[in-house]
Amino acid sequence: MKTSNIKIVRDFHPKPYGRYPEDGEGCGQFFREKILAPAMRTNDKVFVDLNGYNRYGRSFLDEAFGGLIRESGFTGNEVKTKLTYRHDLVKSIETLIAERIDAAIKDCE
Amino acid sequence: MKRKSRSQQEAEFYLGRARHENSLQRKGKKYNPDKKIKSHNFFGYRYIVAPRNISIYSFSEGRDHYTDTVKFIEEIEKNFRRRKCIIDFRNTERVFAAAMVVVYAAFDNARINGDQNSIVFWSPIKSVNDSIKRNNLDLLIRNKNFVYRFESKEFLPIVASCSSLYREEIIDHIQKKVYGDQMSPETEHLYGDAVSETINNVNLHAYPNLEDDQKKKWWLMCHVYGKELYLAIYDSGVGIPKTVWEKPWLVASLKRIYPNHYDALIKMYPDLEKNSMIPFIFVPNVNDPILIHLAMQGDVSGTKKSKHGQGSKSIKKMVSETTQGKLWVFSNNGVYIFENETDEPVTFELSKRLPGTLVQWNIKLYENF
Repeated sequence: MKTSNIKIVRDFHPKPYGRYPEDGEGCGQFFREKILAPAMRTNDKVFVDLNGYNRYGRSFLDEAFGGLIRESGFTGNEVKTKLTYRHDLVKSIETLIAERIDAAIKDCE
Repeated sequence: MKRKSRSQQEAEFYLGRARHENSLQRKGKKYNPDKKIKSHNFFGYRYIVAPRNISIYSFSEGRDHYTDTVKFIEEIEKNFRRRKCIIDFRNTERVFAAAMVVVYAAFDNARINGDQNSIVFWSPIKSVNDSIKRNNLDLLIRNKNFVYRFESKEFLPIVASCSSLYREEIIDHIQKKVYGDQMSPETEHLYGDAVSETINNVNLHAYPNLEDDQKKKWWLMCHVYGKELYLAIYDSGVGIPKTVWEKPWLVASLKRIYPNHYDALIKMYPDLEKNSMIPFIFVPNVNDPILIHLAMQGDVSGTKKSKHGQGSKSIKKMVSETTQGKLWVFSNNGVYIFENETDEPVTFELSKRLPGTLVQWNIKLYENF
């Protein structure tokens, strides 16, 4: 089974922020398009490590994770079976990602 | 002793003489503290009188500090730097932080009007002068340069910025200076999310006609009074009501939150949901407080646009999850006040337009971070 481990602050940006490219290099769209979606396409399992930064904004998380379903063509089932994520210190970030994935699934029903 | 410029000396001479003549004229008359002094021209100077209360919180008739403050702002926008001005705070007794941000922004924006210098007449009240000085407003009025030192200051002056510049520094300031580096990771996320999303909203929505991110300006104030933290972010953009007219969720949201308004509109315009003339339909029928309320909603089901309202959700979450939190949103002719998810938000229509959007929240700081 092929697995990808992504650590956002190491593999993408030390201070991720915003939704769209106009918000800067650390935006959710870039993370999804350049790192997360390709990893989802080429691996059986993808693990995203969110540790190292506590200030993730809702827009970044929504665009990065909810966008997999809304924009990148993955189904809710694919995302839920392939993707796992963890923030050891801020559990509400994990809750927020789950909420944004569910909202995206609802959008695309 | 600091040397005064020729224009300052001139102004002080004429003003001294005028004060003497005024005292002779007023002999035997009683002082009326409620009498409003209007701005006027005075020996080549535009005399801009700051109101007694620089505040935007009272907007009811009879105690309308809001209107006085907006008139002051209009005078600043019209005259500052375009002509020599005297900014007169001598009648000012109180300055409220949120209003200070808007006044500061008015001076900052009006700097491009020209190159004429202005002088400040100070208030007899120390707290008013302290507030003006600590926020660098006097330096701004006198066209002096200054830099922000986030690390060294206990008090964070009003920060003028654009795009996401200083976003991290502001949260660092709250973490280090307000919470003494004892902020829990969950609280850090709460602040980080709310501040990021508020700034993000300015960049996305406030200035739809501007391409250059450097021109998408915002001003932020973050102060602690007692055990409460006040944070206000102001932008001088088009205002929330003007950003929602073309949103695909607008009609669905109106139907859900204001069913009576929706029914009334449907009677007049049966094809409302497909109508491309929505702005022309909404302007005379739906006021700014309602439009702000709709914009402050979170996900709108059935629209396939659940992305909408993530910024407002972050701010409301922050206010809801803290004791005695309160959120104020002033935009154009409306005010929206939110305290928690269980109580209905309160809205008011303003008699005078506040250009742009001011988002202000105050929360009680945790006893043990």
